[in-house]
Amino acid sequence: MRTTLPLIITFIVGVFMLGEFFIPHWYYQHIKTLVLEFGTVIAGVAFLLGVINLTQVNLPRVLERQPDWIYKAIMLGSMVVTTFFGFWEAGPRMEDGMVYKWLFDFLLVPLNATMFSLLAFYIASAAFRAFRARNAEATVLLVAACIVMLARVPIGEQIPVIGSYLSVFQNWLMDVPNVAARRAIFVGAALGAIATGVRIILGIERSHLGSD
Amino acid sequence: MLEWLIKFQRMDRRWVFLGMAIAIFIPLVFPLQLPFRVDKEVRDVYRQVEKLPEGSAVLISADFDPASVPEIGPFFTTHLHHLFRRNLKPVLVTLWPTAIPLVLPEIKAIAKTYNKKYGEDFVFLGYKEGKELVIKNIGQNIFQQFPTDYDGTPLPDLPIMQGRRQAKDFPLIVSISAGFPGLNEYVLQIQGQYNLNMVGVCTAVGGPDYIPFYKSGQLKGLSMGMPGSAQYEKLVWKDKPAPGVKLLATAAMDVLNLGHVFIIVLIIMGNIAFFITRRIEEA
Amino acid sequence: MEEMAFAQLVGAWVSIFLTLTVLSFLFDDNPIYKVAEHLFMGVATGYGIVEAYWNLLKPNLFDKIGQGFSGESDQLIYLIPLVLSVMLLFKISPKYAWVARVPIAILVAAYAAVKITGETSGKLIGQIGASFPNMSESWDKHGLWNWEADGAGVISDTLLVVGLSACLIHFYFSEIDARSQRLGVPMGIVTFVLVMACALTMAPIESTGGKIAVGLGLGLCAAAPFLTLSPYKHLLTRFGVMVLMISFGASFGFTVMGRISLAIGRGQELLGQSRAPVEVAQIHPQIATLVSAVIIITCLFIFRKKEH
Repeated sequence: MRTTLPLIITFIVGVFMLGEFFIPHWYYQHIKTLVLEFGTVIAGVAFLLGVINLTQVNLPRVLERQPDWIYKAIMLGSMVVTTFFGFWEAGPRMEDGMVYKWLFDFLLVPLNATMFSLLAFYIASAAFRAFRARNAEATVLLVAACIVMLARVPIGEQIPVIGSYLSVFQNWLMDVPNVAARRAIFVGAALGAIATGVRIILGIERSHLGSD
Repeated sequence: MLEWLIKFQRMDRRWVFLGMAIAIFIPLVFPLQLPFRVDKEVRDVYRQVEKLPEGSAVLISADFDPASVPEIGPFFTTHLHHLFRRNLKPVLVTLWPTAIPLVLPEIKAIAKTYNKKYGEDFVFLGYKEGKELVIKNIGQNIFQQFPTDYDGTPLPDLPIMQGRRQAKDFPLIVSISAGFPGLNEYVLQIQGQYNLNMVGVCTAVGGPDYIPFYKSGQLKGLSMGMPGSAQYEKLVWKDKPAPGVKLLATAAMDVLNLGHVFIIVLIIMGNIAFFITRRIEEA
Repeated sequence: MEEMAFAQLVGAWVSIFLTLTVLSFLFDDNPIYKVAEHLFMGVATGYGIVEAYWNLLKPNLFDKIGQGFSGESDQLIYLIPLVLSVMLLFKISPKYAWVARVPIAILVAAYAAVKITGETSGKLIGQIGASFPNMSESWDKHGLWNWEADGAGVISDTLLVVGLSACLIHFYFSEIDARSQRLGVPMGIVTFVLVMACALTMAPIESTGGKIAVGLGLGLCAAAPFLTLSPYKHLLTRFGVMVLMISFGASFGFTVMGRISLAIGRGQELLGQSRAPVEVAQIHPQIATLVSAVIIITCLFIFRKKEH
């Protein structure tokens, strides 16, 4: 019962949703949009579940003063503060002068943006240490990368004689070999996704239900 | 020599970091202002907007976060100017919660400079969790998925939403996307099914993945990363921005020059050292 | 000059300080970076809850149920997602976690179905359909190779199709038995000749040169996949690998561009270039950057000393 019922539901909902291309009746489509909307609500609650799980994992560590507890406390504290002001300030929370907006503008924005900008430095280091023309394949990869890097910026166009050809060749690389390779990957990935989807709907793949 | 080359290859990566930082800061302080071309894909985005009749509504899905603002934020800002200047009506939605404070103040501020009225000339429908499921419903029934706009006004009460219940009621869909969920999901879930006229804006990382969609005609235009935004700025402003408007992507193109050259030099130096070392060791 | 609020001024300084705090990770992992990292996680999570409630759960669930109880009885159907949501929360309990399987089943089934339809219509049909270029039209427009149109023409069309086939065949890992391997070359030759003949007689092109070029292109496109059933399969797969390498190289180039762009964004912020001149005059971002840098470097120095 605990496994069979969810599998039956998976099958019914999956087959129902697949029917949208074959049954254009308005009521069928209406039910479909309802199911989609219910799905979005469940996805929203799943986010809440993640937050509860995060608290369950980290709160005991803070209370037991485990190593690095102070960082966990900062995380939980900032989460509580942000949540509190988000609900307290309610509707106008995104207006200037609100604490919630301040937290977003001056904490979340710089932290989020700078975390990702670190990658510029690491990619430079990786290019220096690991990008070697060890064989023909690596050489092709390296040359393609250098052409793209040079031709995508204005300085590439300014190179005497080859500048304009470089830009055409770069566009050709993107339009022909790149498109060929991406389409092959698309086909492979699409077939994989479809196969996984069918396995889920038929109940062959059931890892999402967890174990008993 | 060999020892020195091995040392060079194993040098502390912080020196590379320092070099990168210098390559970024120097052109920021001393700009080169090199001219740049406009790619066909970006020109197509511009043309799609230009050929819309006045008063048309454009559905924009702004799916990005603060981290991707340097790349696609300038496009978003310029796009709003472009739409308002042409008396087109942007209808904004987002699938990324972090996009809300980035797009809402921006659209309100820009709309103010063009004397546009909220609810009539533009609207922000807010954010919904649910990824592909939300996109599917945008294709089928926007009113169902977005019962109210961001401020809580029911959609039927908004003049701009009259007669615009589904994605296909919009003559142009613009997906400004920094990843998942975004452009890829829009193309997969609704573009093909409803044969939508759609253009895409993506970060540079996603660029090579979306070019096949542009080549196949599923996307009618495509702007990739910061250069795409700079080229769009060039098309819209023609080097004469309105007072108070900063062409951030155009300014950043200078820095990209040196950044790319620095990485290419690193690759070349690393390879030279590698090959000399290998040859000496073999000998 | 419009004066900025004190909170905004403090915020701008905090923002610059936090930017440099995160950048300090480039020097080494350190406690102030860890504080910033956890602060980010906390604020981002809190922010996510708040927006999920105000943007989704309130309008799409609670408000609709409220309408249901105040007259619009058809909205009472939204009690279903409410029940499902409560069931999902049972996931927290180790004993009753199985109750959550019902909403998870609905969610996963809906996602699986939309993935199947989306991948089929958007990628399989959309992309494969676009991989049959009209070479006659291509010849008329561009000829063999057109520099003005980024190298468009019959050569590029042929390379696109052969490259796609080669990459797909590279992904085909099954062994082909020796008997089947004898089929490829003759079948390829027959196909090539047939396609060439069709192109020479039927292609809507006036010049003979054009007919030969289009025939060669189409013949190669049609015959190349037959190499899979031949001892020369490795040649095709090697070509496929090279095509993939070009694409990955392009991806690397684009990734570099993207990552540097993000760093530029932070640089513009630190130097105050992304702000209006009125704000820059009040915030003094360069001074804030300098002060923050001094504080952070001092902290790093102290931490190092403590460690040793």
